[in-house]
Amino acid sequence: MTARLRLEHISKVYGDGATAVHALRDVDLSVADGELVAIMGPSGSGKSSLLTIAGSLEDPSSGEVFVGDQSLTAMSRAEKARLRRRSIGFVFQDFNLLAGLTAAENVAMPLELDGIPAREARKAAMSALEQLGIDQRSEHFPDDLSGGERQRVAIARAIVGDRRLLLADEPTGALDSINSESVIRLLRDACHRGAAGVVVTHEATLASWADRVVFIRDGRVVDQTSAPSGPDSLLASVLGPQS
Amino acid sequence: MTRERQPGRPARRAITRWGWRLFRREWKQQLLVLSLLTVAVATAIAGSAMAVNAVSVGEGRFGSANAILSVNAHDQATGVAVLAAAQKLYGTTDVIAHAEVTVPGTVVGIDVRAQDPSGAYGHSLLALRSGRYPSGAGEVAVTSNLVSVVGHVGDTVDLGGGPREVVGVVENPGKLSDTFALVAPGTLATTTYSVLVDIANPDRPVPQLAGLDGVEISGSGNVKQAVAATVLAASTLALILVALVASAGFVVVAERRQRNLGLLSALGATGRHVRMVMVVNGALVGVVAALAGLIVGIGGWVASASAIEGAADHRIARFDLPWTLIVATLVIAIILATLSAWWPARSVSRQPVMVALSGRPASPRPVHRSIGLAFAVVAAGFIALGFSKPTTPNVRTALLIAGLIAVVVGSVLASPAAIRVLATLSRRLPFGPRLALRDLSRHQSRAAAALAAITLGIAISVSIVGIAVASQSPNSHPNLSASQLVIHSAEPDRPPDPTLTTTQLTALDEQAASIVASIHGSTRTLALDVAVNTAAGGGAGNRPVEIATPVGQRQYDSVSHGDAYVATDDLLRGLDVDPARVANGADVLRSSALDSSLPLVVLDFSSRPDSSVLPATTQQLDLPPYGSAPSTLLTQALVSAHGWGVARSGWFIQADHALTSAELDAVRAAAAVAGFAVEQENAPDDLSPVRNWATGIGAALALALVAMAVGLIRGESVRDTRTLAATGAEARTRRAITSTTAAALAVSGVVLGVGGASVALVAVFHSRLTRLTPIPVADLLAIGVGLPLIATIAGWLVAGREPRTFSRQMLD
Repeated sequence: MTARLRLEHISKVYGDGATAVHALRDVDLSVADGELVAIMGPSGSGKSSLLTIAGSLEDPSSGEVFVGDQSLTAMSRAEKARLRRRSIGFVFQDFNLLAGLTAAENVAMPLELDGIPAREARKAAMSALEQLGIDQRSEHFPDDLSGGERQRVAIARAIVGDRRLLLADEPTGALDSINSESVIRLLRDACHRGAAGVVVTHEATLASWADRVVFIRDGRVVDQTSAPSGPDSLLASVLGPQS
Repeated sequence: MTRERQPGRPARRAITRWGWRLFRREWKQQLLVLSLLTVAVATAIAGSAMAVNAVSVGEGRFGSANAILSVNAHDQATGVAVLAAAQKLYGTTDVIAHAEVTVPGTVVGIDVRAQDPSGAYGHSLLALRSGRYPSGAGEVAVTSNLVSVVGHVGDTVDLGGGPREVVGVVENPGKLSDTFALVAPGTLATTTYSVLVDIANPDRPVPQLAGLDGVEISGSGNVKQAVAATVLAASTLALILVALVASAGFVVVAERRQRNLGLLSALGATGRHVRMVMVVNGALVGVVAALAGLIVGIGGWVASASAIEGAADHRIARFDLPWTLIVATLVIAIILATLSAWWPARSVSRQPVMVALSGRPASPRPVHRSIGLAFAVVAAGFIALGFSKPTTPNVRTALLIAGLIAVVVGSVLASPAAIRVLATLSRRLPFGPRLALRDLSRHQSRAAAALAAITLGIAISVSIVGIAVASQSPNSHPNLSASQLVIHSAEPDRPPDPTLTTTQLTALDEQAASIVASIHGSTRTLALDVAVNTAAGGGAGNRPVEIATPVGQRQYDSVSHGDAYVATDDLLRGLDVDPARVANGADVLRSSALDSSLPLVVLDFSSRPDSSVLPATTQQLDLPPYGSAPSTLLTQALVSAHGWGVARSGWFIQADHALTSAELDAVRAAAAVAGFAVEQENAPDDLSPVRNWATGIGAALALALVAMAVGLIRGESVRDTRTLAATGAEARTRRAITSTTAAALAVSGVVLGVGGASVALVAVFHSRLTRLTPIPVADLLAIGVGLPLIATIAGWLVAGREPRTFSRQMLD
C-alpha cells in the first residue's frame, strides 16, 4: 500500500541553549492511503508538534517529511501553502471556521484559494457537506451552528476536493460524546474512501476507531498497536473490509 | 502536459469577499479609525472648499478678462478714440464707464458706472438683487449700501446729468463691498473707463496710447492654484498623521484576527492572500471614510458658505468646489488607509502559522536596525534641509520637502526603539508601571504606530512654534521703545536734501524742538543725519546710503530700517557714547544688543540700478537696540572717505517716561502742521498667538492621540485586567497601569517629536541660529511637561473601574 505520509527521523527542538525543549526525538511514522492512525500520549508529549510538522505548518529541526512522493524539506512557503490547499485537510479542536463566511463558503475557501472558480468550488463544497449530512445548513454562518455542526463543516472543508491526507488535532475535544462519536465516524468514513488520516486524541474510545494507535511520550514513539478492537473493526472482521 | 493552476482571480475574489464580510462584522470595532479618517477627510474637503473659495477671482474687477486697461482721457473724443484703438488691438472689449459724483448732503463720492450686465467679460461682476437693471437714460440701480444714501427703488435721484429713477438694487458678486450706482451703457458722459480685455500674451508690452493710464494683469488664477496646492499639502500631512493612528488601529485589528489569518494560512493561503485580507479591510475603511467624509465635508461647507461669503467679500456658488482637489483628497485618504493596513498585514503574514493559530502576540522584532536606520534617515534629512537654503529666496523646494519627510520618517522609525527602551527601564519599577511598560513592548507594533502618530503631532506643533519665533526675530524687534520717537523731516518718497544751509538746518531743528515741547518732563532731541552721494548728482533725487545684510545673490535685507544715520559726535554724545571710542577703520557702528553675527554691507544707490555694495567693518557699541532708533550708524570716517554729503533726516526724541496717547496726539498734530512725520513705538507683528495656538492645538492633538492609543492598548488587555482583579489587585494598580501607559507614550512622543522638530529647525536656520531665540520656554514647557502630566493624571483618573465580567474568552 502507498504511504501517503512518511516521517523519517523527525526531531523538533524549540528554543536553544539551556532553554531548549525537545518536543520530538527521532520519530518515524508512515501512514498509508485509507489508513486512520491515532496518536495518543500525555500533555506535552509532542503529539500536536508531530501533527503540525506532518501538515507543513512547522518545520522539523531535523529529519524529513514526505507527503505522497513530495519531500517538504526543500519546499518554499508558497509551495507548502499549495500543498496544504490541494492535499492536506486539517481539523482542529476548536473548529476554526472563518467568521463571516457561511458553511458552504468555508468549505469552498481552499478550492477558491487554489484558483477554482467560485461556482465550481461551491458545487464541490455542497457535495462535501452532503456527504457529511449537513448540506441543509450550508448557508448558515458559524455563529449559527452548534459545536457538532461546526466540526462537521470543518471536516467537510478538510476533505473537499482531492485531499488525500487528513490531520485532526483533538477533533472531539470540544464536543459531547454523541457528537464525538459522530465526528470520528466521519473521519473513519473519509479514510475508507481512500484518504490517509492522523488523529491526535486523549480519548481511548476514539482511538479505538483507528487502524493503528501510536503512543508518544517525551517526544519519542514508545509503542504502537494495530487493528484495535473498535466497532468498525468488529464489523469488518465479521462482514469484511467493504462493510 | 497540464498547465499549473494559478490561484489568480478566484482566490482574490474569495479573499475580498471574506475581507468585506469581516469588515461588516467588525466595523464597530474599527469605529475609532473610521471616525478619525472621516473627520480628517471632511475637514480637508471643507477646508479646501473654504480656502479656495475665499480667494476672490480678480478681486471682483476682472470678470472673465485677464487685463484691465484704465483710460483717463482729456476729453470725450480722446476717450472714444482710445476705446476704438483698444478694440482694434484686442478684438472683444467690455467697457465700463466711470464717473465720480457727490450726493448732496454727503462727503462721500459715489462711483457711477455705465456697464452692460451681459458684457463679454464683466457679466459676472453684476447681479440683480431686486427690481431690474436700468435700461434708459432716466434710470439707475444702486448697491444695497447706497439705498439709504441715494434712494430706494421708485425714488428719483440726481446723480448729475439729470434726474434718474431708481429701478433696482444690484451688487458686484465678485466684491460685495463694492459701492456703486449703475446706469445703462451710453448714458454717462465721462472720460474715465475700465476696459476689460483678454490679452493673449500678458508679458508683451501694451502699446502706448494717449489717454491710457495703465494696464493691470490679473494674477488670481495662479493665486488659486497656489492656495489649492497649499491646501492639498496640508491635507496630505494631516491625512498622513491620521494614517499613522489608523495603522495603530489596524495593528489591533490584525492581532484580533490573528487566529483567523493563521487558519487561512493553514488552509493553504499564501502570505499574499493573508496580506490581502488586511489590505482589503484598510481599503474598505478608506472608502467608507472617504465617502462619509465627502458627505460631511460638503455638508459642512454648504452650511458655512454664507458666513464665508461675508468674510470673503464675494458671492460663492455652493457647488463651485475644487473637485480635482477633493478627488485627490479622497484618493489620498483611500491610499493612505490601504497603506496603513498594509504594514500590519505584512507583519501578520510573516508570522509562523502555529504562532498565528495560537493567538499569542508575535515576538517583538529586534530594534537595533531601526535605530541605525532612524539615525541615518534623520541625518540625511538634516543635510537635505541644510542644503535646501530655506531662508533664502532661492529655496530648493524638492530638497526642502525631501529633508522634512526624511526627518519625519526618521523620527517615526525611532518609535520601536523608544518602546524597547521603556521596557528596559521598567525592571526596577513597581508592579503596575512595570506591567504597563512591558505590555507596550509586548505589543510593540501597535504601540510604536501610536507613538509615531503622537510624535508627528508634537513635531508639527513644535515646528510651528519654532517658525513663529524665527519669523519674529530679528526684524520684528520693536522699532522704538515707548519713551522714544523719531520725527522725519521729509516725506518717505522725498529723500532729505543735502544742500540745505546751516540757517535752514537751524530753523528745522527749532521746528522739531517746538513739536516736542508738548511732551511733559525732560526730553532729549538728537538730530539724525543720513549720508547721500552728492557726487552722483546730489539734490533731493538721491537715495540715502543704507546698511544691509546679504540674504542671497545680489539681494539684501536692510538692517537700518531704511535710513542709516551718520554717527556724528553730537549724536554719539547724546546717546552717551564717547566719540573717541569709535575705532579707526570702523565703517559701521552697531548696537551690541543686536545680532553681531550678521555680515553687513553699505549700499550706495547713487549708481542705480546696480547699487555699489561696500563691505563694512563693524564695531559694536552701546547704542539703542531698536530698529528705527540710531542703532546702526555709518561712521564719519566712512562718509568722509567716500565724499558723501550729509542731510538732515529727522530727530530722535528720548523722553524720560513712556509717552501718553495725549502727548503722542499733540506731537502728531504739531508735526502735521510742520509737514513732518512722526514714528512712534510700533508693536511688532505679535506672533505669540500663533505660538499659543500651535502649542494648544498640538498638545490637544497629542493628548487625543495618547488617549486613543491608551484606549487601544489597554482595551486589548482586558483579560489581563480581569486576571489582576481576580488576583486581588486594587483600583490603584489599574490606575497605575493606565497612567503609566499614557505617561510613557506622552514622554516618548515629546522626546522624539521635540527632538525631530529641533533637528529640522536647526537644519533650516543653521546659518542664523539666533533667529530661533529667545527659546519659547513656556511653549516647550507646556508641551514637554504639561502634556505628559495631563496624560498621566487623566490616565489615573479614568482607570479605576473594575471589569464588569470575569467570563472566559469566547472561542472563535
